[in-house]
Amino acid sequence: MNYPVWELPAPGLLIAAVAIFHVFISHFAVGGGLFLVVAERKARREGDEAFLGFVRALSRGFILLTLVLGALTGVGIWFTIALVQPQATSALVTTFVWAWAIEWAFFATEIAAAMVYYYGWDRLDPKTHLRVGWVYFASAWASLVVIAGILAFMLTSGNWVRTRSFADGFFNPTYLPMVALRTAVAVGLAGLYVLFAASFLKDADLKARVARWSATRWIAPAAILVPVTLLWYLSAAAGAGVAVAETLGAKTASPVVLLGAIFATVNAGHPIVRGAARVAVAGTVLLVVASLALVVLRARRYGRLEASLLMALGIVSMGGGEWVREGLRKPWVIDRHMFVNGVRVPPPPGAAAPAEDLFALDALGRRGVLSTSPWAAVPAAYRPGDPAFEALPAAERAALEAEAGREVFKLECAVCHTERAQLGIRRVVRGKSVAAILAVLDAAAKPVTADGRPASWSDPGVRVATWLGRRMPPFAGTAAEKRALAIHLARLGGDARAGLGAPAPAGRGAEAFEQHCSACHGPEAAWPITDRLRGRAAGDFYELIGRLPQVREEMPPFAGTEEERRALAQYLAGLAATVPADATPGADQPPPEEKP
Amino acid sequence: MTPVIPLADPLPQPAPPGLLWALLQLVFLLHLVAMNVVLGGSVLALHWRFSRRAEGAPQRAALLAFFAKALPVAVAAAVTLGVASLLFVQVLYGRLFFTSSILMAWFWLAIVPLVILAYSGAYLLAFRGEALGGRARGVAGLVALLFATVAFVQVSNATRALRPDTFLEAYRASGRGLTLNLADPSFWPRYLHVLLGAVAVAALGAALFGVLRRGQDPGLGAWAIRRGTTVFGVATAANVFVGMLFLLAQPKPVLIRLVGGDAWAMTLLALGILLGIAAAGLALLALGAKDAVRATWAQAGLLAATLVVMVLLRDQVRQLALRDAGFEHPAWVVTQWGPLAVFVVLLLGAVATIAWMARTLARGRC
Repeated sequence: MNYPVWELPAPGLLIAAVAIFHVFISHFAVGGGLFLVVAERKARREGDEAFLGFVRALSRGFILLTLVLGALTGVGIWFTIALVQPQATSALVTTFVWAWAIEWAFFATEIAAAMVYYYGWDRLDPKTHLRVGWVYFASAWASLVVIAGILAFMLTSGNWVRTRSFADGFFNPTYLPMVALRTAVAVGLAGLYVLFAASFLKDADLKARVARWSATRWIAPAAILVPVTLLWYLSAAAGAGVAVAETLGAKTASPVVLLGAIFATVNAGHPIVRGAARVAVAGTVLLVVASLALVVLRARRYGRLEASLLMALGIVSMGGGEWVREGLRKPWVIDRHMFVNGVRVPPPPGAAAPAEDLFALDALGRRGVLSTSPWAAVPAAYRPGDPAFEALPAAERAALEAEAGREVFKLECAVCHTERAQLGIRRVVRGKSVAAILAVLDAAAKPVTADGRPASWSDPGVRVATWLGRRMPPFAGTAAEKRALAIHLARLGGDARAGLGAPAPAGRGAEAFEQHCSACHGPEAAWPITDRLRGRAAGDFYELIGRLPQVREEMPPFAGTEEERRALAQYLAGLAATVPADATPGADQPPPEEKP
Repeated sequence: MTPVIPLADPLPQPAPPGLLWALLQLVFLLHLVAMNVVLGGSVLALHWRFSRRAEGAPQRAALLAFFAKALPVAVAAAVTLGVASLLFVQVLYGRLFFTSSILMAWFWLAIVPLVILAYSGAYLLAFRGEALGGRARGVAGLVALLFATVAFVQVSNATRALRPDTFLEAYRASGRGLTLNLADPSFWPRYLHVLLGAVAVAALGAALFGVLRRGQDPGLGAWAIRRGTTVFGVATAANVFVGMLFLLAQPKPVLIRLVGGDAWAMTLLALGILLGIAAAGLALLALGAKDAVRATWAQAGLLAATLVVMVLLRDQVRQLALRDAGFEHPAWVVTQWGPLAVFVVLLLGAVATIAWMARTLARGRC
């Protein structure tokens, strides 16, 4: 909101597409560099001219791949994140300019070495040629080592939140596991790429030798190293406060529980991240099994089609993995500093900071998003609190609020959500009332301590309790802006009269249901309440409302007053009486033992 | 309209602005040279590919073969040095640069596939140029067109970033990232200035190629020096004129400071014009000179000085425009001396390693 918002149909998908492609290529660049020198040394030691010829041919495709696609898609990532997340990019560049400068020194060496290696096949003696190859690999890997620090920082910023120190941010809790994991992935992908390149060979003997060497020395070790380093990474992330278990729908972050949760059928965790995790795990297992099977069964005969399918599977698996990493980080874009929508948390007490941060949660809550962002196009007549505005006819006032709400949506939500396309909000709010949406906005994210107690956003150890594991940032802005957003969303969801203040559901119980329950249990919501009412009386409901998290752990504790609880129980009992006796209980209905 | 500039991050700046500024000027100068070779070289090569003159045909073919081989290396250098420029621009002027990029987001992002295509075309010409036969002209045309388009987009972004007073109006007109800055009076003169400058640099590159090759092939050497010098002189002379148009297209407050209101800016402007005229004049005189080699090196010296002055003058125009818009670097600086020292050491190591590799390759048997 400090920067203009680029209105595009799928901002998240754009970043993902460019990033996944680049990450795939750049890991080839690292692993492939190692492969080239190790393979060249092997071929020269064994006097294997055919193998050496293959390595030489491979190096041409390799420099084309790394210099053209690797370097430029890297620029592409930079362009893309700066366009979609300029605030975060600015913070990262300001904090890590020297890390990027160091990475650039390695990058420049890598590019030069790749060219000298390729052009040096006939011009350099073998020893020097190999040395250049090692320079290439070392600089490519060093690039990875530097970039991993910045990427890991975004997930676990460590003590940087308190100190703002380069070293505290760079050497953060997930840094080393990330370096290890990415190195293992690079080794595996190099094997995969060589398997692909060998598919073009006409010499069946050579093809079989290359394929077997690639499978046994590259793919198989990576198949062991990747899961081990991944577990190290996840464990370090969970230890640093990342909601690994919650996001993946597990009770704990232990490996077996996580794996079980990813493939379980229960509706828990973040559905998209869990889906991505399934793709990553299943895709990787399939990739390893298929690669090894191909080498065992068809090493002399496999063709480009099989190899291309394996490459495609590699991209899909890696894409799933990167998606999970992004999902684990949310709602932050920089851990405990900035949310995905560019809103920052206030600095911890005592931390050095300039004058008031206008784009921090507290300041936005006081001043409002619309008056703080210079890019907001707010209708001139929208002046909540002003007697002239409050005196406007209800329809006119609600229309102005909806218009202002659209602008709030653009500034706060559009970085992830579109109206109809990716993470389309229209589908999410269909049939929802203003009260229900307000309840979700209130519950979207709350600051808690490591053991779940309420905390302040400026607490350096703050963690985020999110609504139903959806990993959303908290609403930032004034109460009037929140209401405006809710009216806009309710209208998007089909309620043309949203904001007009009529007709409210009759009775306190209905009001309480609308406010506290309808976001999930309304008629058009994911878990309609009517599926869950059969056979219960007001006393049962009263008792259940008092222990909602025990009924289903995804449900938050009831946040209303005692009076609302009683009224809600009565209201639900009234609804239950209207449910036909043969109504089928929903899949998520509490188990029989939960029934009083 | 009132300039709208996003607020700075509530984070300490990692180094004094002066240091970041110096690094930006240095890497941008190097990027500019490589970029000019890429853009001007691809345009010049296209011109020679379509030339039907019988005179000098073998030399032209030899020069084209050299250009085809050199282009991918120049692109790699331009991209690598461009990344460094991008880094320091983002730290110093990110608030303007991000905003101007977002306004033309689709075009800005398109640079990536455009350069990938052009780079691939350059490799195609380098590796398979002869096998392509007549289609090589088409590929060369596409490569030149793509690089010229990239420059077009870059100029649009660079000119917009100097005009924060137009940000809000442009954003209100459309937030879809499709707004180029073509209405800016300085856009077309600046674009033409870039194109002509690139052709001039590449032409002098051809002349220097002639100087280096004259021992092995005197005919080729003489031809390349003559053709390169001619194109360099004409393009530079034309660019002095276009540069004047570019100057006059500046907003009035900037123009006033450039022509006398600001001593440093005026000095740079005067130097730039004089060096440009001197370089063009020397090129035309060199055509009849006895010692063409010395004349070519003298032109190269003048060109290098002109480029340094132009980079500084370009920066002065930015400083003047942004000062008027109320842009200031954040005052909160906490220099990260440790990482900075590591960078300097590694940079020296990288330069030494690259020099070693390049020298080893150059000395290797062909």
